[in-house]
Amino acid sequence: MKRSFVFTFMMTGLLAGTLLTWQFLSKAPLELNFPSDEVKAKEDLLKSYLDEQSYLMSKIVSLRKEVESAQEKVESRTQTSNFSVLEGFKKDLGLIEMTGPGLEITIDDGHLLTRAERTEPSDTNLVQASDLRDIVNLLSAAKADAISINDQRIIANSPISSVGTTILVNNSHISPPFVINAIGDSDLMLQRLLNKTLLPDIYARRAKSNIGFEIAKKSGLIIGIYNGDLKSNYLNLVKK
Amino acid sequence: MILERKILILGTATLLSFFVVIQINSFDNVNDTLQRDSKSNIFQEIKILKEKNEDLKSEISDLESAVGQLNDQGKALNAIQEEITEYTKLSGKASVFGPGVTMTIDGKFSTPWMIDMVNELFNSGAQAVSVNGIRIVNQTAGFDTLPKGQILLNGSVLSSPYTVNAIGEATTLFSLIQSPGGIFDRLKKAFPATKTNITTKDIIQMD
Repeated sequence: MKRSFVFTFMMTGLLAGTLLTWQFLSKAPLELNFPSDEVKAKEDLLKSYLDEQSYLMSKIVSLRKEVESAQEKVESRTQTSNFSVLEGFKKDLGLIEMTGPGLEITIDDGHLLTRAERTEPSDTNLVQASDLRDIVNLLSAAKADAISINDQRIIANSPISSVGTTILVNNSHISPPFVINAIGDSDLMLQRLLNKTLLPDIYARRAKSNIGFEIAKKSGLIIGIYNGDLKSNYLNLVKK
Repeated sequence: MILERKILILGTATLLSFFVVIQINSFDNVNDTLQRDSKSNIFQEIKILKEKNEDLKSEISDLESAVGQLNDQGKALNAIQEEITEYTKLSGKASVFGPGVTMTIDGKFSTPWMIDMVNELFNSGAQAVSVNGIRIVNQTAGFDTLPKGQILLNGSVLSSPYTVNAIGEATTLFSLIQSPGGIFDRLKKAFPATKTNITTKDIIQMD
């Protein structure tokens, strides 16, 4: 009896030790912990960059309109055929405003807490950047003519990423609710989006009321031009 | 004696269950690293914004220069030609070449991770990306999954090994893709048996 008692406690001790060691070996991500005034200073800096970004983006849109208008004047003077080529490229690259029928998709966080109050990016009540990427990819696979998220025009090289609980589209902050507009064949796009096997995560979380996900057909959507930068300095044309 | 033994057993069991709960919580946190999106902090957020604003300022400077040239009769046609050349490179309507990285993914892979890989490359500054020879541009139909799990891109079925090319600043692309917590790191956790490789190249051509 005494021996079995000692044996039981020895085994329990070993098990506890194993779990303790295992625990210390777990590489759980550590949350950063700053003094509050330092965090405040960082947030102020962040806000100043965001304010600057919105100013710069609106300036880009205005300058692109100015370029467009100057090009029209050149065309009327010279009757150059290059102008139509240029317009074709602009349409391909998302530099022309698009209007037409399509879908408006709204995906929103659960409403128990605000996004700022949640510290854990993997919170199932939060819309993830990967959710937005999957929806945009499905729309693109359904041959959408133009897509935007919260008025940010999406082009092929638009990154959709996240930093902590913040979602960035074209490296610009966007906040929930996320409204995705897509111009194109509404029925085809709707058929893809309603297929639960193509968006399993989103439908599973919606079923548990973790997130909101609504789709509406729209007749007159307007999607503005891409307002980011287009860099091609590493690209060289192959001469034929 | 019996009472002491009971207290001892109760205390041990409590301690043990305490460890079990802590351990389960740790697993939850570890599993988070397998998420499709990387975790980052306010420093990275500020860094990204700062770089983005620099890029936007550079774009503004280019556009102001274009407006100036277009308003100058002698330079206007040249400005239009320059813009057409730039858009030709970006639109995917002509073959392009440049430095960058080539990645190979050999083994099991899935559509969501392919979407993430392409996204990560553009996020790291790639100016052109192709998957198994198909360049990703605005007119490319997105990725799709066939019933047997194969990946479809622009109407073509992709098969392993997948080759992903990206043109851009090669060193930056290489380091960001391979960084701890980066896409390769997350991908290796999601598909442990899949072999991945990345190399920098002086010249990559995309047709």
